[in-house]
Amino acid sequence: MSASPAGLRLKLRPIHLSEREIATIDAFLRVGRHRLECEWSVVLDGPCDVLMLGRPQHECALAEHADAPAILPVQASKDGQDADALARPLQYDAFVDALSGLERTLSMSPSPAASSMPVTAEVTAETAPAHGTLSFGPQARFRLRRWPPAALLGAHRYNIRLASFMSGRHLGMEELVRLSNVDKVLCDRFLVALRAAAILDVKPADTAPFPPAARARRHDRLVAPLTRRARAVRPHSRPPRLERSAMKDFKIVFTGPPGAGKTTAITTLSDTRPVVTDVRNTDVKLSKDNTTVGLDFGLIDLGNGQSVRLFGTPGQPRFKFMWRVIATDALGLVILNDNSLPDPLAELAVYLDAYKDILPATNCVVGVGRMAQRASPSIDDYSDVLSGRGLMVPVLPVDVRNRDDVLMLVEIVLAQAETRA
Amino acid sequence: MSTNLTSLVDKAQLAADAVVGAIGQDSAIVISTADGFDLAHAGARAAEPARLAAMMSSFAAVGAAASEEAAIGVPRCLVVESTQGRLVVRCMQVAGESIVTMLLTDKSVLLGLAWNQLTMLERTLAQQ
Repeated sequence: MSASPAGLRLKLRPIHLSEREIATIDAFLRVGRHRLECEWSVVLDGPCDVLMLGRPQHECALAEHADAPAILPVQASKDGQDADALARPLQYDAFVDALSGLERTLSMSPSPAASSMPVTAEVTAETAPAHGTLSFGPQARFRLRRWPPAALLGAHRYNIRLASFMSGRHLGMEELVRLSNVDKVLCDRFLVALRAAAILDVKPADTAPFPPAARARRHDRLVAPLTRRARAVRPHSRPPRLERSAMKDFKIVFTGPPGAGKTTAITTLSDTRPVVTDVRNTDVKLSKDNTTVGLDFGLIDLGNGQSVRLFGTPGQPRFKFMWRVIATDALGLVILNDNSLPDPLAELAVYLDAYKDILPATNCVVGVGRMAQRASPSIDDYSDVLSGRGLMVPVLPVDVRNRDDVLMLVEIVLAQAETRA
Repeated sequence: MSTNLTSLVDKAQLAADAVVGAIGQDSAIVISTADGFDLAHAGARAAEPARLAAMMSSFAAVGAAASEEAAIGVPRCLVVESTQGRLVVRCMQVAGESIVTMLLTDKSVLLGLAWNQLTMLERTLAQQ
């Protein structure tokens, strides 16, 4: 998931921006070339990688932005509601920083500007709906039967996000769009692909157990604040806030075999200096200098009084007593695995067994590291193992040194929590 | 296991036996590495040395993290005072290795005696 974006050619298409603003963008791109890894160019029509929207998205025609993998809104600074938007007048540093952030995301996705590759591998011209036409009735509700194959997800973050939301319970289109913040047309395309792969359960509205509005939504709207905070805050950049009375905490536990990267993942994400209980490793069977024997701890402050507390378990089975102690009252579980181990699926089974009584009702994601060192077993092999146990658990390749990769794991857990609550 | 630790095993066993001899058979001692492997143990009290060694290394590591957070230096001793007994954990450096020693006693044994025995054990292990 952490492909280097260097050398990619990306197209930026401004819409509803003035000629002067387009000229400014052009100038910013020339001046900021040394700060960007990709080759950016401005196009005024045709396919692009990033749409810069000068008006709110809902005021623009769907056809204008349906194919763009990323949208960069521009708004008057007084609006201030969208943390991801660039403020007017355009500022050089903010603009280059925004493009820099988009480069990594886009480097993981096939570029529609460079090819006619569909959104997902399974969507064909025959199955994809025309713009503005949806393939399912407005009352239909969707849930995954199993985690989608990697080819179908296509490394698109919005596909992963959509799948995460649909892994917990049946969701209608409107709710899916609202929770995921993904365009309806892209949602529809993904649903079509899931249906074609026979892993989508579609129910008409009248079979709903109870209206979504009546559900207790303790964890409502966690993903959006997380995404905003994570983009805005760099690791360990500021001290923790201690307004305890107003703070609402969520606990996510990282577990998995030794060396899978639990400590690194928490260190990568934590807004505060992490608590680490590593000591010198004396086990010759384990090729690492230090190992965690107590716990790891980090914190992501979501703002608005909410925070995510990240706990890491020791990996070795002799510390099994800590696994359950640390997982008590956790909102979710991130199982990190190391694909370079001799039998990675057996390693996964150790943790699935250890948490088997809580897994069916726990938000959980599996992150597989070091796939570049060893591609087998594949992500789909992991999914098969989980499905074989009757578990709907997302599986993703991950580089724990990459903040965006780890963030995606946390985002998936929070997405599951939002829909399961 | 490093050469230092291997050479410590026999000495640790003698020292563990000596502590249990001084306190009584209704006690137990486990000497382990900082990452939770037991090097030596003694005593008739029912306790599984391997599991206790792992638990005590976690306990000691969390104690060290808390000490660091509170800026009170390096932890020397942690005590679990329970209704029917006591666990006294001593963190020590021996021959360049971090060692965690746990003494399990019943309530009749004075805490000062436990500390004293663990201090003597540390001195014994440190002797060349």
